[in-house]
Amino acid sequence: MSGDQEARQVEDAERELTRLWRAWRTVHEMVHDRGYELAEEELRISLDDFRRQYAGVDGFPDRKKMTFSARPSQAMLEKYSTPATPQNPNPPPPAIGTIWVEFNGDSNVGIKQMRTFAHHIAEHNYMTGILITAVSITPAALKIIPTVLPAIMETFLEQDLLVNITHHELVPKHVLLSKAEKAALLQRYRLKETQLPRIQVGDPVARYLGLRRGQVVKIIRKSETAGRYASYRWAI
Amino acid sequence: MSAANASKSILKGGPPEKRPAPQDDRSIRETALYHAKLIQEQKDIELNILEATERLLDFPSTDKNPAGKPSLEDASTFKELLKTFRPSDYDSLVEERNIDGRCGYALCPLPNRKEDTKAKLRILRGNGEGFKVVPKAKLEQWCSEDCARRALYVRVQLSEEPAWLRGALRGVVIDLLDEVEARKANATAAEAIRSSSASASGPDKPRAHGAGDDILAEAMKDLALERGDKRPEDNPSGLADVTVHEKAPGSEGEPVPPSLESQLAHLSIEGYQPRELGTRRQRRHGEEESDCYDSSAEIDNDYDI
Ligand SMILES: [Zn+2]
Repeated sequence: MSGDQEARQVEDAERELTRLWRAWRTVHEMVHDRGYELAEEELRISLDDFRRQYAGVDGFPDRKKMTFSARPSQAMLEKYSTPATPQNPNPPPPAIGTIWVEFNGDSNVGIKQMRTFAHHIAEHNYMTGILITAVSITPAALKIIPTVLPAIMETFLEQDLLVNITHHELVPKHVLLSKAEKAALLQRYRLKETQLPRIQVGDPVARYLGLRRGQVVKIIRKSETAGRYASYRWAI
Repeated sequence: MSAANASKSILKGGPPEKRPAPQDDRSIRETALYHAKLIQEQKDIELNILEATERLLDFPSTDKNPAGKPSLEDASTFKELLKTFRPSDYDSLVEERNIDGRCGYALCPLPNRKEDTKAKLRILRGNGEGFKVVPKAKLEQWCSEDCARRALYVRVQLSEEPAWLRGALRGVVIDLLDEVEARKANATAAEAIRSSSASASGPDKPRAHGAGDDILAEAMKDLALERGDKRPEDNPSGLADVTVHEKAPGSEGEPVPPSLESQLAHLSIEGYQPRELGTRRQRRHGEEESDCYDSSAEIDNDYDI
């Protein structure tokens, strides 16, 4: 290999490593923003540390090493739990648990890879799995997602995680309401949930927060005239 | 929660919807039920298709059988599983098999072809003169041109209509290219044997058996062409031919009265043998082919008398 080629390869490896470091940071922020517990050093890993831990011998990122899991915080568990009422004194436990995140660098991702991922989640009793791929997943493989419920499988493209969309100044802050807060909101305004404006679960911010159908988010905007004001969206 | 900050925008949902007039209630409920049923059916069928695709990903069950001679069990399972597929589902199956490094034709045990190039397009020499440009991904779908024909032959038989909207006619009956070709070959061979034994019994023109068979086979092919069948080589894509449903010889259920003329039973229509047929047959053969038909035609004539 000529020196030129070598230099180019090093350059390619470094570019790829930086891309993956950014996606790695974003997915950690995402998991943290949803309420899972992550250590500060995991959340703010430097490029150098990332290189030390996840670069292969060729300098390219080794996606097979790029996995992690996280447990829901106490606050998150409370947010997802159903409040006990006189009619329902023993509500079911919150449908939230350990989350598993995995990167996949295959040049094609189809049914086989998706099934392998689903098996891994089931085997370890994870409640949620996030698969981050370098390429689009085939339509047939995506049809596996609803079949593994109640386990939740989410997929993201590396490319879509290079920046954290929620950090963009034009994206207002979205906050998930707990079940109790949602009930209080509807009662206060004497509304049915169907009367709230809606947000699609496929909306980029909804995907970032892992919103589920029926949940309500509060959207907080800054306004020059009114300071801050809030609106609400029902996820469908 | 800072509900005090909440603007009135949450009320934008508008006034509660008007209640439908009571007499409309029932029909509305029926419509809703109908749609709910349809949606459930759609979900069920889509799940079936996914499961079928996953099973066919690991097909064939043994790599002992080549694509042209699948095991009977695999062939029938393949046809059964494809019944609810649309062409797009079938394309997905091919794609998934390719990702797995397999030939896109699910009855083929071979790996798909790998073009040793990074170019997205390949230029191929066409059948006649000239070249054609083919996307590399298309070439890599199959192990061979034969499997491309087999796979496309199946694809054109699939219905575009989603299975949950097909009503009672849910499943399509699928033929495999190799089965159809084998049936044609059988039919041709059977006719050839019939005719050659007839000609051999003709006392006037004894001929070498082998040569006669070849000529006969050729003649029968021409006849098939005349009937509207296409030669496979005219039709490398396998895209035509789909409406031809040939029956295996002997599978015709027509009652045939026992008679000495049973040799001509294949000419009868519902047990009745039209007198004209023998002569028309003679005419047709006479126009077209060599003298080898004369002997068999003579025999037909004998029966006509
Ligand atoms: Zn093949």
